[in-house]
Amino acid sequence: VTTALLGACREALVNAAKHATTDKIDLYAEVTDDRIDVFVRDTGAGFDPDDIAPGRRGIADSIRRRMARVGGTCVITTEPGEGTEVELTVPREPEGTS
Amino acid sequence: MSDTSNSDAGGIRIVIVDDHELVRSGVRGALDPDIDVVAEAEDVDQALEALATHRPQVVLLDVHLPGGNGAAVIRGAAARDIETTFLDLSASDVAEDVIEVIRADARGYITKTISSLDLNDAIRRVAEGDAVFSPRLAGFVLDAFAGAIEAPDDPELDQLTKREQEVLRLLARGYAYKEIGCRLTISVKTVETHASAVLRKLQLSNRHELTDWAHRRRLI
Repeated sequence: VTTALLGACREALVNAAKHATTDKIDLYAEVTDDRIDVFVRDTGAGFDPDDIAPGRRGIADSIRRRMARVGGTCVITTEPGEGTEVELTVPREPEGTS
Repeated sequence: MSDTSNSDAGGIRIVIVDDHELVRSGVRGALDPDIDVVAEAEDVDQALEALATHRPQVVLLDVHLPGGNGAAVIRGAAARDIETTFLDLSASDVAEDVIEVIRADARGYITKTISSLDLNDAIRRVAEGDAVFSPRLAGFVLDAFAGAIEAPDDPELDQLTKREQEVLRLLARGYAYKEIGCRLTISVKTVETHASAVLRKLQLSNRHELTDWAHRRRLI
């Protein structure tokens, strides 16, 4: 689960670094007993979710697949001019597996 | 929009305290015209002298200084009954620095990666008495107050309300006050009120919550 989460984070961060026309990317993570939430946010160009070039669609799908494989979710919120936020969530066992 | 005459009525008088000349001149260059740098200082003693002489409204204070540190300036000012507002501007973003200065009574904490726009905004904000949280600080505070204790000594001080947690969470995620207001459908003023309340809790709550947290992180 951790590997999948880290992989997805990395993809989201690299994607933001490549496409967002901004100097700053925020990453915030919260770990609670039953889940881990990671938010990757940039205040860059943003994009229209219905109008993605084939290359970029690949990234979003790739992140979603990684998450789905471990029972997690990915929510991408974006708007042209408003930046982008990728929210990754994975469930966790209260004790043991991580 | 700003008053070009730079009268006392509109201007904000500040002192910059940092031991690096480059940083001081960089900050000076980034300030809006209505923010007036009345003095600069590069160590604790100089800072206290400048504060006593000029009585600025806001002090931009570096955490690490020769002859002490940011907290020493804040405590020194209090001891001399100098009334001013401290805004920490630091290269450091580590927990111990942040918490130490905030608890010494700084009104806000920002890091040197901040943009000019946000810097000016932060100065205005603390000049009005509101708290300024860097995303990292917001994260630390959430961490520090996380985990309910069975019977808090003072529920008002030892815990964050749901709303305060929401605001902090959005701050930690990198949202600006205006954006938080939109997202939670509250006014920016209300966001500021919540942030200030959290700051007060952080400063006044020396109870189990914060002490345990600091212990866990080996801060004290």
